[in-house]
Amino acid sequence: MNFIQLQIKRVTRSSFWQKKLAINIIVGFFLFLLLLELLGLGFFLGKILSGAAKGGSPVLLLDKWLIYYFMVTFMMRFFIQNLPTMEITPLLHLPIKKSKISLYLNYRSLLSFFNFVPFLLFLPFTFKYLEVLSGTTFVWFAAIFFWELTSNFLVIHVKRKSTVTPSVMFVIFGIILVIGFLERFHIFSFSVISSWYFDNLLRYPEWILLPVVTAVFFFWENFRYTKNHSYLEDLTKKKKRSEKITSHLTVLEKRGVIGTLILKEVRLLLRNKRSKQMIFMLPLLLLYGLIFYPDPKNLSHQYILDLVGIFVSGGFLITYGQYILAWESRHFDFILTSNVNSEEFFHAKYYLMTIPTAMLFVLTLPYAYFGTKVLATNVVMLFYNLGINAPFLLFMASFNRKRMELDRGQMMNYQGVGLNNFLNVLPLVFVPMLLDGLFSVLFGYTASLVIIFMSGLAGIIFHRQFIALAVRFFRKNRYKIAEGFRSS
Amino acid sequence: MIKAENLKKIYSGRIVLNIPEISIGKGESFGLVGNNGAGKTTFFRIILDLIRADSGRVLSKGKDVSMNEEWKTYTGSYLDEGFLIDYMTPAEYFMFVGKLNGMSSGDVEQFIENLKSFFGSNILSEKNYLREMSRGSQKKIGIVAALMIEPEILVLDEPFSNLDPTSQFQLKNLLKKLQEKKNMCMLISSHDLNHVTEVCQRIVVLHEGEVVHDLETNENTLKELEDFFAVKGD
Repeated sequence: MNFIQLQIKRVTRSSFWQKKLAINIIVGFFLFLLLLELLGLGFFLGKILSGAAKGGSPVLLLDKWLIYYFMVTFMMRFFIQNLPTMEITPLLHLPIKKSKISLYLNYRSLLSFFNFVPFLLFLPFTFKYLEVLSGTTFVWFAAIFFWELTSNFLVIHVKRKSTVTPSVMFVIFGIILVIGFLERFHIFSFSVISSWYFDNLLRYPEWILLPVVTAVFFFWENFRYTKNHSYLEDLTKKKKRSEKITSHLTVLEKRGVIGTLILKEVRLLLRNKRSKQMIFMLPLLLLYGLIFYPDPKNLSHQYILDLVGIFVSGGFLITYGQYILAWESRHFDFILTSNVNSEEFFHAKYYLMTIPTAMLFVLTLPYAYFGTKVLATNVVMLFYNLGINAPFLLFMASFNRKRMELDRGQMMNYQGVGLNNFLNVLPLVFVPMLLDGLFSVLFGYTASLVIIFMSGLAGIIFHRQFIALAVRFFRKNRYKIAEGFRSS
Repeated sequence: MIKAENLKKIYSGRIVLNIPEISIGKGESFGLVGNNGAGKTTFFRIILDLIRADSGRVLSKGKDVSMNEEWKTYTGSYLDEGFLIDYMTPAEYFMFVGKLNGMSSGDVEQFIENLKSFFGSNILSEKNYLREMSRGSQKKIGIVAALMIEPEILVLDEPFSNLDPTSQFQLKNLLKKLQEKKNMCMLISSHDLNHVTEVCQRIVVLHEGEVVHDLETNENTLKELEDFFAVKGD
């Protein structure tokens, strides 16, 4: 139980926890909201299902769908849940049995948020719709819980074998497509397996043993693995190289200092965990439009089109540009002392934000399917992003003075994120929305878009002047920025 | 070459550096010694314009380092791991530094090739990233990158620590040779009195932010320094 104390100390004494109280409160608040929403959903689940079942039994309907629930949570676990690690290096030489350390590590994974979701989501339903006093009620819920535990230990097992790489992502998306295809054309439905199992369970409670056995099996598997692999050499992983892409880009070195700086940044983005995850998220940002565009109601609201347009055309710009200097916080002293003047440095940063943004925009052109209004708004917002938002981010960079560690993942990782990062995004998105609203009222729909387009274009034409301003501001603040980046 | 005037740095009310005047000439090898917290790194950081002096200024070739960026073209430096780009291989890092200073890939390869024995291996074909290498190797790479650009001013913080004995020996020879050949102004800080007296012609002792000794190196210097620090230890 000393381990638990150790863990609590590790969390509460980490500089992250102590310094970022505001962030913790915000994150805690959102987590609380999420819990409430899940609980609310849990209470109304019976009603929703009864409605959907059209007179049939809601329990039987839920039985059908449970397998999809497990699939979705498994996916989410795969991306979000971390491998249970504790800083075990300092413990290895102490007189603690390895099996004890391993056991603790695996118990700890039980604290994962997902393991508690069934209690919120399905427990109210269980009490309401299954006979409360009968043993099967308990068994039915316990089965869900144990499947969730199986999922918990299985995901650890899988994550140990593979990290999130592009190929794994493709495999996952492929599997989802195949499942969707099979369902859509009624070739095979996984709900058959699901309802077969859970219906049987209600009749023959001994079926509970199946998830119990699988959960114990994967737990044992993980326990054995961590016990046998608690050597220093196993704790440092050898990673695969992304030489292929960057070796094609070495021509950039021939393009002078700015080209050299761009090559360095490309390597930074491809070779660090946090930036890689940011890149994997980009397709999701590009698909953001699909949430809004299919609904014709949304298409008639220009402010929604503005909002989506900014994100769809500027997803990369915003996610990358927010930390435009912080990405380099680990070697910022080097940047400040090496033979690069600030103008060149900022120009390289400007190209790094704008060129990929312009290239990614080509991928969003199919949105034209939803109408010329969508296309026009997106083009206008692209120019606004390139002309106004990009220099603005260079300017704001001087306010972001938090060191960023790149070897940790991006999901639920608020290290290096300050309150001003949240505040930063607001003007990027809301200023163009407000401008469009204002100009539309004053001059009409088309004129408004033309004005915003022209201001973006002017920003692109005069980018040198804007960058010069940002550089002057940066030179004024450079000591404070460097000091912030130096302290971890 | 370098001149500091009325230099003062204060951290939360405590004066950590106070140098009324000091100048370091061209071709001079300048050793800075002192205990932890004596202000060595602070002094170097101010010279490299990484932190702001609370008063006074540092002139490099007569120009204030905080007012223009010209000094970057002729100054090589390595203070700590913050000077390494840790996601690059050594070859990529050298090439990057070289390109920033207008060297061709051939120049870079040639320079590194000549230092083969210092690295003890073919460093250019190393596939590991800098972050995966030992502290000693990292330090060697950082120092060599600073030397590679043939600077007129070289600033190194604790170059000998973390190096194995052979490398320490080789580094001393390398620094002495380069300094003579290129006549560069070399600033080195060290805890190790032996090394620093061997490499430097001039030794300055910092104690609690102040210059307490400023000596020309001769056969008695080491003894003198040892006596000074022995007393401070009591």
